[in-house]
Parts: sequence; structure tokens; C-alpha cells
Amino acid sequence: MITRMFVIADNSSLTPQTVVNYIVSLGKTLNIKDTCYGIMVEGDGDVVENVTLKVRDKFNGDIFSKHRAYPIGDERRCRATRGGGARPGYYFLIQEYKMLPFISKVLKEKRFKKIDKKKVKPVDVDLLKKVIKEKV
Amino acid sequence: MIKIAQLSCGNDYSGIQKEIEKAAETVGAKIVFPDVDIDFDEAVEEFGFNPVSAGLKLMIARAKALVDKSFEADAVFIATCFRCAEGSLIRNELRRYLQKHTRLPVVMYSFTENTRASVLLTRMEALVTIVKRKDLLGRERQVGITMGIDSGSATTKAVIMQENKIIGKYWSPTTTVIESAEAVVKEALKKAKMDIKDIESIGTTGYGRYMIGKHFKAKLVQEELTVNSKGAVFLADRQKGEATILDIGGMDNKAIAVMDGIPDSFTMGGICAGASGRFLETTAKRLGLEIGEFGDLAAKGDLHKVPMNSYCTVFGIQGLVSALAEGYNKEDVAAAACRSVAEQIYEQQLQEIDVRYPLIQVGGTSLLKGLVMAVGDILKTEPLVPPDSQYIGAVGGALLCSGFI
Amino acid sequence: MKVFIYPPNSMILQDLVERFGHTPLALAKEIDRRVNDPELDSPPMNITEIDVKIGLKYAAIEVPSGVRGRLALFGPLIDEAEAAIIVNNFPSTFGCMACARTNELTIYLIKQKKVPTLELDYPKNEEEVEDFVARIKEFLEDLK
Repeated sequence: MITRMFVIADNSSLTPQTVVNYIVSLGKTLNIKDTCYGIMVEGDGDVVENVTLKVRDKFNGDIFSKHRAYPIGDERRCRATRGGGARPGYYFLIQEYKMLPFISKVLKEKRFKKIDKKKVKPVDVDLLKKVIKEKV
Repeated sequence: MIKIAQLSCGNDYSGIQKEIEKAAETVGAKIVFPDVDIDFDEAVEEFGFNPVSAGLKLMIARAKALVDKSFEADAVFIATCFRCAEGSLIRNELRRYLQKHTRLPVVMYSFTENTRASVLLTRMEALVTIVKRKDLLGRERQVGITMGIDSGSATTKAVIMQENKIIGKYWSPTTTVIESAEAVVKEALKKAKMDIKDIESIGTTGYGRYMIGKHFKAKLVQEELTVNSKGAVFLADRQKGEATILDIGGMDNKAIAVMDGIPDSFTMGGICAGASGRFLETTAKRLGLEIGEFGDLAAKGDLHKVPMNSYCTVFGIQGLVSALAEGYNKEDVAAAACRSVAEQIYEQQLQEIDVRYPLIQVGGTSLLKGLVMAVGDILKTEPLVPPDSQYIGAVGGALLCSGFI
Repeated sequence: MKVFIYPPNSMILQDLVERFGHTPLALAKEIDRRVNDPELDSPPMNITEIDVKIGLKYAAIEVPSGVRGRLALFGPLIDEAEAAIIVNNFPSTFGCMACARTNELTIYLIKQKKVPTLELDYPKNEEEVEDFVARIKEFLEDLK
């Protein structure tokens, strides 16, 4: 039994319900829960992994997925039973969620362009000396 | 339900979160985690200390939520991994920050993977007592006829008080909890010329508090951190204002920072016999002295003359014996033993609290003049040793339980 | 190929590694094994004292328990790694990667393995995201 999270990029018109309907149409035995960011899917390892491939094929750059360690609704990580305070992974998910629209765009438009990044070096000491002389 | 806000780093990965929660539950409290905004870098910036570890940044944001009152809790438990330098810096600064900006009682702990709920229990219980019994802890005068029994790991003490004065007291080494308590109670009553029926209220504290509390039908059964604090400030006549209470015990030590007699941060340690009264007891035996004689002798010695390479009860004492063979005199050796205990307490425990003055030194070991001098030497202060300083727990018990008459 | 990702809990890295045909060595799988074991009861992570001792394989006893506990999780993933993608300078809110000392040691251990490794900075704008994905894609495709 494994659990996977599917997160929909914020700029996508895809809804969690559409994804749920698609997975249901595959006719597999799975436990599915929709959330504010997408859906969670739980089931036998092979089935879940296979469904992931199909979902990715179908919705391409609109949806992203990772494994989730805890089963759906696990009390150990539930904010209500924990006495407030988000679970550690929450903040992280939010950070990545903010980046998804850009990644989604790159994947969908196949814009795989590298940029030349040069390491910023500290300013040359002679230049610094010159500036100090001029200013002071 | 008392809510204890947990500010911590490394707890989940050390496998001890369950132990923390178990300790809190046992004393009727619940561990809670302050909710914070996703951009907790802002809180870190405002706090002004920017640790590299994100877990510590989160701790800062959570502390700020308590200060801003955007999250409500009754007490705070701050914990980080033992031996993490960054963690201990943040732990201490957060404690100061919380004490400056809130009235919440704070307790700190540095844990290892072996930390068990039982170790955390007294700390959690004290937090709960401070919150729940704030009014009772405000009591400054004993009324009626009451008795306090302190069932400690090394000794059992009983004190009978009437109208704010001690009228009977007795102590003996703890053998079995109930028998020792019965014996000291009998003697204390004899001294007070009273019968147990005359006692209007009984308060118990110390390791055996539950057992003797049940046995004597006590109206107050309370952990020793809060009870000892009250007893100490009462005996030292420092009921108002700040103070630090240092109790070097037979098995563990307590250092408690108080404001108006109520603890707001404290530390307990029982990790090394070398930092306890046991070290001095063993040294005295090796020197062929009674413990009282040992204390007086040490007071005559030079605290810094004999070099010591170890704080350990085995190796350290062996070193002291060798020093005798090398020609050092007994006074200086006894003084070195006192310095050793004082140094270790300073290094391991007093660092964890805000040392406030006066320093009130209590417990049986406060009768050892050499040890009091060693503590004073290291802290550059003259510790205050109140009369009957070995009875603080029992006096605190007698004082507080008079609130139930 | 089995690709170690750092941070090991990154959804984006796990997703991209899978998308470009490899197996990510993700943290969730390692935690999953523990939290779903009915024999263990040390919530929330089910890391036990024994795990923290397993961490000794990667860090000495004097290292804080939180570091050793974390390495009990990351260590086996590092052992399995055939390649690695390391993202530096990620935001401090990155969940499970809360201990800087563990993070430093984890990166060191993976570098010691001398497997093909791609090191990147966390992107700060759209242009950098493009570069980020392009480099990961190229690295993963070259692994085949």
C-alpha cells in the first residue's frame, strides 16, 4: 500500500475533479481524496505507479506528483490532533507549489533553454582602492 | 487542559516526541505547536538571530507567535538536541526572549535518543503547577498548624509549623519511603509536643510524594521545584523580587530562577554523581571524615591549590587521594572536591537558566561551608544560606498546604 | 538509474526524475516503510532509538541525536544512489531539511560516492526555472 500526492499547477485550468474522474475511469481499486492543491491516491504499489504514469501522460505539465509517507488522514500528521502547527512538509509543499506554474510552462512549451551563469566574484581590490581614493 | 507550547528541533528524528507527549499527558497537559506564517524568515529577521538550520528558524517564528499572542498557550517547553551548538544558542535566547515579553513559565531541555518520559515528568508537572496553582503559589504566610514532608532520594524531612513559625522538625536518611517518613513525622511531632490529630493540613513533596501523600492523606501533593522555591524564599526572607535557588542534592540538582517566589525557568540534572552531594560524601569517606567535618575543613582550604583532571566520582576522587600522597594537605584537597562539584554545576546547569541574585543555596549540602564558598567563588557572589536550609521542601509543603485549611 | 535527490523530500525533483525516465530515491518511501509498520510505535515518524543508533554508521556518537536520526533515513538512500541531483540555497521553509548540519553531511556523503552529480541553485525567477529544468533534463537524459 502506497500513497501519492498529485498537485495541480496554480495556472492550470485542470480541476481535482477532472483528475479524479479520469482515475476512476481507469477502473482500478484505489482510495482517492481531493484536496485544495490536487488529490491523494492510495492503493497497491504497482497500481498507483501505473496510474501515475497515465495521469502524467494525460495531463502532462499541469500536474506533478510525489510519494507521501503517511496514509490519507493519518492522525500523526493531522493539524487538528497535533494541536496546531503545520506538519513539517507543509511549508515545503507551499514553496514548491509557488514554483509549479513556471515549471509547468517550461514542460508544456518545451522551452529547455540553459542560461550562462557566471559566478559573481568579489570586486577587485584595485578597483576598491581606486573608489575609496576618489570618494574619501 | 493546560496547553504547553513545544518549541523544538530534532525531536521527531531523535524518536522522543512520544516521550514528551507522554510526560505532558501524565500531568494533565497537552503539547501544542504554535501556528506560524509560511514566511517565517520575517520573524527571524525581527528576532535578530539568524541560524542556518530551518528547524531553529521555525522555533523562532513559533516563539514570536506566542509573544504576539497570535497563538495561545499556558506554558512553554523548549528542547533541542544535546551537543548541538546552534540549537543551544537558540534555546537560551528564545528562553530570554519569552521571559522578557511574556509571563509564560518556560522550561528547557536538551535531549538525546535515550530521553524518557520519566525524566521529563517533574519538569512538565512543575509547568502545570505554576499555571494551575498560581494563587496558591502566591501564599507568603503559613497559618494554622500544618506539616510538610519532603521525601527525597537521600533524606526524608518533616517540618511542623504553627502561625508562620517552625515548631518541630526532623530528618533522617531515606531507607524505605513510608518507614522513613513515619519515623521523621513521629520525631517532629514529639519536638512540637503534638499529636498527628492536631495537624490541620499536610503537604508532601520530593520523589516519594505520591506514596507518602496517600499514606498521610495529604491535602497537597506537589513536585519539589515549586515547593522548594516557596520554602527557600520563605526561609531566606526573599519572598518578593528575583532570586536563584540552588539545591545540590544527593542524586540530582536543581537550579531555579524565581520571581516573587514563583519559578519561571529551572533546570534539573541527575546525569553525573560527580556533580552531586554524593561526590562529596564519597570524598569525605575516603578522607576518613564525617560529611559535616569535611565541609568545615574544606572551608579552611584553598579552592584552587590542588589540580583536578576529572569530575568523575571514580577518577576525580582517585586524583584527590593521589594529591594527598603528593603532599597536599587535607584542607586543600577537600576544598578542591568542593570546587569540582561547583564547577560542574556551573558548566552544566547554571548555564541553562538566567542566574539572578541573590543566589539562595539550600538543601543538605548548603550546610557544607566549603561547598557554599566554592559556589560563591565561581559565581562571584556570596550565596545566601537561610536557616533550616535543609528543610526547604518540608517548609514549602507546610506553607503551601496551609492554603487548604 | 536510481537518482538521489536533494532535498530528498522535493516534489519537483521527484517528479522530474520520474518524468525523464529514472527512479528517484525519495525520502517519503523511506519514511513510508516505517510509519506503516504496525510493529513500531514512536510517532510521528516512528524513528526509534535503534534507528538513531543505525545513524552511527554515518556519524559519530558525539553527533547530536537529531543528525543521526535523520541520517538513519537519508543514509540508506545515499547508499543506493547511482546518480544525484543537489539543489543548493533552497528556501529555509523546506520542511524536513531542517537541520543544517545534517544537510552539510548529506551533501558531503553523496559527493564522496563519486556518482554522476548535478549541482544547481534553487531558481529565483522564471528564466532561472527554465535553466533549472533544462539542466535537469539534460543530466537525466545523459544518464541513459
